Amino acid sequence: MKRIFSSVYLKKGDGVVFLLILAIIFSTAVLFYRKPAASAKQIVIYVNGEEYKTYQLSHKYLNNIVVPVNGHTKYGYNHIKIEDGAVFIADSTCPNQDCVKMGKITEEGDILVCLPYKVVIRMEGGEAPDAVSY
Amino acid sequence: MRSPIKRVEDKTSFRAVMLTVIFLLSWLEAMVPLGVPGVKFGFSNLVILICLTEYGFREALAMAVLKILMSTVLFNGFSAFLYTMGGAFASCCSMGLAIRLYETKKISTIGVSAIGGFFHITAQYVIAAYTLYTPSVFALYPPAATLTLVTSAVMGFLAAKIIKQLHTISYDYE
Repeated sequence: MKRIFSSVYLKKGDGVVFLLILAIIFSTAVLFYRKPAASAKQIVIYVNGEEYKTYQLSHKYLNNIVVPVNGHTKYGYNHIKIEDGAVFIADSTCPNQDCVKMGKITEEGDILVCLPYKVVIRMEGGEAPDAVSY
Repeated sequence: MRSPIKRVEDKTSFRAVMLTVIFLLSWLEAMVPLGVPGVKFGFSNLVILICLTEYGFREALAMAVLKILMSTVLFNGFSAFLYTMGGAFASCCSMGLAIRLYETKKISTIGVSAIGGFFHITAQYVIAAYTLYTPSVFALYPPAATLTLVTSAVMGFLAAKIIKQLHTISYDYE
């Protein structure tokens, strides 16, 4: 075991490369994880980069949202659910189902993405609870 | 160190073998998702890295282009074409530049592989941000890039092992 991980392969430059890459990752993390003061959370659904609809997280009576999207080949949908302050994609017609596998989001700034349908669901801190379009 | 392939027949068969390896491996890695979108083991990158160190940039770029075309037709479909293409080109070209540091023995294959993996995932996230018209996909970028750093380091280590084995084989065509 010791022979396999001996320093035959690793050189000093590798450490420099790793540190540089980690520094870049860390700086992007700092850039994108700054969270503003939390207020009433809401989820915003974007389709094709345009805002499609906004929902309050405390949405009780309507927890099934179906986003119809025009896929590349045929008509499809994302079935989004809000449950106990968490948002997740319960069902989708997209081919790889990555969005379903992404699981639940609960924190502000978290996102769910469905790449083939260009759907982005983002949790945001709502500024005014009344400014919601149903 | 390099063993350039001279005869046309050898070139053709060499490319065929390498491409077969790429396909088997990318089929295998498609079955094991790593949890974060965009992150894979990067086995095909391993093959491209070995092509780069052993046979030069041209062969590696040829492998990358063929891999993009074939995997678009066979696995991913055209919706993922941009991601496949951007990632493969970015990683192949960045590794092509980084290989000079490898040849002057400043870094090992692990460093080269880390650079390639980093550019691969960065290109894919930049393309995702452009096609979705929102920079918010970058919220997933730090964990994805960190995981990629780990997998690409493992691939670089494997590449070093395989290259060592390749050098024990003698190429006698005459």
